[in-house]
Amino acid sequence: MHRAEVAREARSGLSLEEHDDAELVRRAQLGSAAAFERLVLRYGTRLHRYLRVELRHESDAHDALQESLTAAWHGLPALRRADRFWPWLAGIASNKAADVHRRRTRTADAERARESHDDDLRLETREALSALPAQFREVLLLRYLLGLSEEEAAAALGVRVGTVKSRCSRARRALLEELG
Amino acid sequence: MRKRSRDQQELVIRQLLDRLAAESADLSEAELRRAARLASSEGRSPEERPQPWRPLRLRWVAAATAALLLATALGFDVAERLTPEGSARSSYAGLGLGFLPSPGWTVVQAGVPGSSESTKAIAANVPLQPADPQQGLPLTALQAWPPWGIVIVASLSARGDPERDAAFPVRTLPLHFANATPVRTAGQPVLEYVLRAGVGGYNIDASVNFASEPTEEILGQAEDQIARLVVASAAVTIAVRPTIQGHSPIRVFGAVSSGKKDEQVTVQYKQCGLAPVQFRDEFEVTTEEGGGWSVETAVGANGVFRAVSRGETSNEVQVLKRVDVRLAPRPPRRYQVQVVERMSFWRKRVLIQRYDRRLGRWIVVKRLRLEHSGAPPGSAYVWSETDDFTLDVPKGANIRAVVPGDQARPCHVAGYSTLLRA
Repeated sequence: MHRAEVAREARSGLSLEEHDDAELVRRAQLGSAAAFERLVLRYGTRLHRYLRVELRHESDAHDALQESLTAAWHGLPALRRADRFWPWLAGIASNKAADVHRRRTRTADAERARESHDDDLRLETREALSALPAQFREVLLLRYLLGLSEEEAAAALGVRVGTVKSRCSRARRALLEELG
Repeated sequence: MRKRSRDQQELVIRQLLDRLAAESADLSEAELRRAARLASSEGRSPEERPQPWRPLRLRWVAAATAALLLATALGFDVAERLTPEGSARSSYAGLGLGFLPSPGWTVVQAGVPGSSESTKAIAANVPLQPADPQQGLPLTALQAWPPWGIVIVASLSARGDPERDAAFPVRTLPLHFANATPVRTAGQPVLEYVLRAGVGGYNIDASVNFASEPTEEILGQAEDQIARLVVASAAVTIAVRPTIQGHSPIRVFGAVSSGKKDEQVTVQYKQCGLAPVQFRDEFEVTTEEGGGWSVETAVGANGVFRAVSRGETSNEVQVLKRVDVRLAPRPPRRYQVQVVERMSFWRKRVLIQRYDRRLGRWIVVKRLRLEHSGAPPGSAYVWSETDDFTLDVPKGANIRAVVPGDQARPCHVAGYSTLLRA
């Protein structure tokens, strides 16, 4: 391929789409807003779903997503392993969600606990998740909703892989017991 | 056996969580783009930390660095002769950020002139396409540009955030391409350079894009164009982050154009919706090296900030808040809407909506007014609430209360309660 064509492709939006995470992260670290936007398009939907389930409130989820992205933009230069962007971003979102939980009053939590949903199964799942300790809920969502591996979840939570394994195992049992 | 049991458990949990996540609509691509742009518009991150050592790339990096040094050195020599020293500073007062016009170059300015944030300027020696966004990289133009094409995108934001300012060394105009950092892509020539500078109370973040590996002549052209970047700086600037208040503290920051340390800056604040409406002095701060200043204020601000230094006043920045609205059940089968804010929402209209699964959208089922209002003694907050009411909605329907934007303005943005099941 002619060098100019390579260059043209490299500069086009299509090319950005084709870049792997690590390349996009490197560009975003140097200040490329277009590369950051591409990363957000790649992971934003999953992240928003996670925050929606974790926070049980659309507006809070939206705010937490925005806060997570802003924190990610500012924190990107400090990310040493560009290939671990997704678990790193999930970890930021997890921390932001924990912040929102801490800020909420007990009354507000009680109100949210009474939230309702389209069918009984969803309601039961949501209530069962709410009943779990935060650490269990967090690890379940990272592993099974966001699809992180045990190693990635450990990196996101800042704990050892063994801790993720044991928490995950106990969380699975606890959730299924809650669901009867 | 045990593994099979675990696999089954995982499958069940995945299905349950997926079902839960599918409960409401995902964000659209446009919404995600907006969120990304909002995040990145708050200024670029600090300097990149050193990358881990990769021996296999050593030779390549060394060769590229040597080539770059040689090429840029030659390019700058040409540019120094072509560009008169200091020519870029004085002509365009009141412009904010922009490129001086020159033959063969298209220059565009986007954003609000004089505003401290979201001001962008683009210079290109190739035609820009109408479809290109004014606030981003002109991708449509870049997809069809010739090998000699150069596109420079520069953005301007206020100084004052010490962490961020560290990445923007104080420089004077005209800027020089020699200070740019190459954006390296493994196995490809360097096609993008990033140049950062703190100038006159602002941080300039410029991205220089080449269609192909730049020759000396092309580097010279880029240097010439970079030197045509002008900044009309306000005596004192201000920016606030975030401008729609969440739960985190608000950072108010800015800079003085003199760039001097220990200058006195007064941050003034005008609470929205409350009398008196005059600005009052809120903080006294002194500038750091480079002229930046910064202060953090607790959650609760909901009004307009401005900064005053040596008799000069900055632009004004408004901070808005989402209305805190709650839909409270009043058993049996009655509800009440409550709003708690720093101002009264008495006689404001609220909507009760239910989610129609068949139509896939929210439908207004009742319009109410917040008929009662009051404040506990000594409290800064005012509660406003409706009478108790009943709802004629199917059992099990999702309902919520909404304070629409027209009722929330001018001090707030629309607010939504948590969902309840009827």
